[in-house]
Order: sequence, then structure tokens, then C-alpha cells
Amino acid sequence: MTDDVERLLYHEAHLLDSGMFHEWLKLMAPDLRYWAPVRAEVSRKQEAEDESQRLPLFDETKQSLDLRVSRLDTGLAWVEIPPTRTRRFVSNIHAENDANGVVNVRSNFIVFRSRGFTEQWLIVGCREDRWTKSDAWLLRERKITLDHCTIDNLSVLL
Amino acid sequence: MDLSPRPSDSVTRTLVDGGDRTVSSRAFTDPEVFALEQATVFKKSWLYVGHRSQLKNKGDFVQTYAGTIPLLLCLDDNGEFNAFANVCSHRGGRICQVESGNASKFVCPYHNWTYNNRGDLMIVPRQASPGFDKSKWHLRKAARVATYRDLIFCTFDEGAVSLEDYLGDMKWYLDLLLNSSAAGTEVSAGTHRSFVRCNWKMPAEQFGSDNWHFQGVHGSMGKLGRRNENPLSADSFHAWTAEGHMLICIAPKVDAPSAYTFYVDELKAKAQLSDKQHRLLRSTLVVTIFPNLSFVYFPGLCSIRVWHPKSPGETELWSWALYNKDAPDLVKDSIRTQVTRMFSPTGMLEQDDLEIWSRLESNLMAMPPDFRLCYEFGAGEAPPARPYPGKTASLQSDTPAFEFYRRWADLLAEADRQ
Repeated sequence: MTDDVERLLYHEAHLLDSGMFHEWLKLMAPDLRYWAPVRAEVSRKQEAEDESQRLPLFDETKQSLDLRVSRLDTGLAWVEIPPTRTRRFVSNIHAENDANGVVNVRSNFIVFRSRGFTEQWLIVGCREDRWTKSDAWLLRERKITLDHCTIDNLSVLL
Repeated sequence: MDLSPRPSDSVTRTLVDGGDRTVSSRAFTDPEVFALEQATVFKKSWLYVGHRSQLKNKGDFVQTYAGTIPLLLCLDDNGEFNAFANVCSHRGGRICQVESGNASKFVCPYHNWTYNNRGDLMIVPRQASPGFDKSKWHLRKAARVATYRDLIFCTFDEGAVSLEDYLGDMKWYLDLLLNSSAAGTEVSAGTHRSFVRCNWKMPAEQFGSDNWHFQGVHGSMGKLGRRNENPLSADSFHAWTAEGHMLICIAPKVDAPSAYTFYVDELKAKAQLSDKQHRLLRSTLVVTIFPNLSFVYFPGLCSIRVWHPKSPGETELWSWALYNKDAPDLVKDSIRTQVTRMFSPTGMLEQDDLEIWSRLESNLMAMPPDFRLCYEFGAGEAPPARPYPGKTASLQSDTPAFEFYRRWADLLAEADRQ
């Protein structure tokens, strides 16, 4: 199963890095929850306790991700004109089945981003996913933990 | 009579020229100007440092900045707010490490100098220094701390006018956001923090005075039918005050009922606001309180934000969702979600602003120092009569923005004369 999951995550990374966002959206379940907690400069314990109450960095549904992709399609979303070059590396993949046919997948990522002639940044974090597979894989939930307290303009999907 | 030009006059005229309404690019790029504005604009003004809802219990504290100064805002045992630098008097250590919490004392990790939450030095572990007077070595304290509604401000100027006088005519508009319910407001737990790759004045200016950029920068959301504004309405205008505060108000194009507008209608029954104020709660409101506090409000979204200056070309934005304390959970959740999706480091409106501002900054850094920006638009216009407080201008006018810079230059010059 880990092999299948690995192939799935690499495929997903390829779609995002290639700008194939509509293909990527097909991996998203209609009842998707896609979110990222904001990080806090406090103890590990306090950060974990308050996590779900803090204003998130992403708070998305399938519909709102559709809107984000439609926005890129308008040709007027200046933050992606010309598009950010991205290359993402997914690793430390851990997958296990839960009782309800859901595959829980944890993976780390590094995304290299560059814009303009010279600007470049790394964005690093961990994703905790819940995937299901019937005919095809569908993402039901993704929690993205970014290892950044202050964030550079984040126009790429993770 | 001494007719020789004073340095102050030349600073003012060079940076901000009222004759042709231009602002020097050096206002946004020059390290000397940046240092001078820290010593003047940020020293003399009232600075937003926190919201009452962040400090509920005695001993609660939050970290923030006053200009570039790392600041602690604390609620002491007497229930009073105290603001002081998070910088030890001994060697400059950071006495508090976490962004928020509860503490009655702060111990500098360097040599264990210990301060209470009013900023006074209480304990120095090494006692034997004859004549050492602890009372002299309190932390660098704000001269005054004051609140308006639930917002907490401080100033480092002993002689500053009262906060109420400072906010002046802009209080009427702030009340739209802060006083539509007797219960007052609260900010979200959790702070959005963004690197903003430009001078702090660019976003502060845009937020209070730039209706025009909506068409350009945010064209994508317009094309998707996600905007509801009628700039030609009699209820669409700019307001500004001599203190450098400014506001954009744009009436809605269509009446778009939502859970939020039903909530607003309910608020009307409680009559906390005048009818005139209440009507504007259907509008888009974008406000800057001089120098670096801004708000953006659409029906169903409200963000409060501070542009923390770091260097001429670097700013950090700290922002929160703002809502009435007694609003239903549904309304609060929806405001948090909309703020996250629109005005955060991942926000569909904020992203394009951040991108454009970073281009402005790198361009201005690259231009010769005699490059000047045009604020002439609207200079010749007869101010439209609007039945609202403050001075008003049409939405096309650069007058509020220019007046922001005039106020800024006056403060630079005032300190020069001292």
C-alpha cells in the first residue's frame, strides 16, 4: 500500500508543479476539508492545545479551491503572472489504513518557489491526509502544518 | 529675522512637495528617512498595540511592536494596561520569549534580571553593588497607554494629545466596526503574520485611500463576480482628517442579503449606531489610522491589521479577524473563514496586493533618488459635499493619500526643529 500511496503523492506533486490544477482538483472529494493551522510562538504543549481555535492559514472546501483555480484562470491574478516556478519534494511518507477504509497518510514536503528574475524561497512542512479509494483516489481531508511563523505571500497550493 | 532655510523645511519640501503634489521615492527607500521616522512619527503618534479581548485576566500579556521596538503589553494586578520594551535594561536581552501568556514577572534569561508586569526592575541576583538604585533601571516604558472602545494604544510622547482627540473625526467611522453592539468586539485567537516586501507606508496608504487599485490589482475577483461595489453612489467617498487618518467607503452595487446582513439588521433594533452609521454597514470600508493601523470591512468580513516597519523595504503584517463579542458563532466562524480566504498570506485579495507592493519597492530602490511619485489626481476638485464627518474627497482623488504624507512630513520636520 505504501507504494501506491507514494505513487499517488508523486503524481499529485507533478500535477501541482506542472500547473495542471484542474486535474489536481479531480483528486479532491466533494466534502473535502483542507486546512492549515497558523503557527504560534509558544510552547509545544500550548500550541497543540490551541491549534483548532486559532485563525487558520488555509480554511478551504472543494468549492473554495475551485474558486482559487478559477481565479488563476482569469488571467488577472497578478501574484501568478507569470506563474511561480515550483518544484516540490515529498518524503517521510507514512501510510496506514483505519477501520473505515480510509488511508491516513503523513508526509513531509519542501517546495522550492521562484518568481521574477531572482526571487526564491523554500516552504517546508508536513501534511496529514485522509484518502479513500473506490474507482480512484480521493482526498477527504488534508491538514498542512507549515514550519513558518511568518509567511511569505503564499499563492501556491500545498 | 532669520531667513536661512531650516533643515526641517528642506526635509519636508524634499520628501513631500505640496506644490506639485509629489512624494520622493526616498520616503520609501532611504535608511536615514526610516531612522528619522522611527524617532518622530512612531515616537509622536498613538500606536495600536492590542485588543482588550487578548488580555482578559490579570497577568495576561502579548508581544507586539511599537514601530521597530519589541513591545510587551501587560494587564497588571490593578487591571491597568502597561506597555514597555521587551528589552532588558542591562544588556538588551529579550525578557519574554513567547508571543502571549500569563505572568506576574519576566526574568531575562541572560543574567536573570527580573521585572514585574509594569516594567519595573524588582530583582537583580547579584546584590553587592553599593548605591545601585533598581528604580532607575525599569524597562523602556510607553509614556501613556489608552483605550478606544476595545482597542489599546500607546504613545512614547509625554505631550501627546489624548487618544480621543488623536482619533478625532475618524471615531465616528471606527464605531461602525467597534460599536455596533454594546458587548463590544473581540479579535480571533491566532495571528496571521506575513512578510510584506515593501515600505510600511505603501500598504498603510493604500488601505485608507486607494479605491482605484481595486479595478487593477483585484480584477480577478471582479471578473469572477465576487465584488459588490458602486463607486458612483452618493454613499461612496473618501474621508480623511488632519491627523493623517483616511477611509474609503464604497456603497454596494446590489442589495445582497446574507446571514451577515440579517445579523446587521438585527443590530439595528438595538440602536447602538445612528441610522446613518447603520446604513454604511452595507458598504466596503477600508481605513488607516495614522500611522500603521488598518482595517478592511465588507459585509461578512473584517480584518484589523498592523504594518510593522522593519527596514525601508521590509514590513511585517500582523492581522486578526475582528467581530462583535456577542455575535452568533455562525457569524464569527464565517468572518474568520472569509478573512483567511481573502486577507491573509494565502488570501485571494491579499496575495495580489503583496505581489504588486513588492514590485513597487524593488522599482523605487532601483530608481535614481530624484524620482518622485505623482499624487496630483484630485488636486483641483471641489470636495464633494457628503453628510459624514471629516474632510471628504471623491473616490478618484489622491488627496487623502497626499494628506497622509503631509502629516508624516510635518512630524519629521517638527522633531527636526527640537
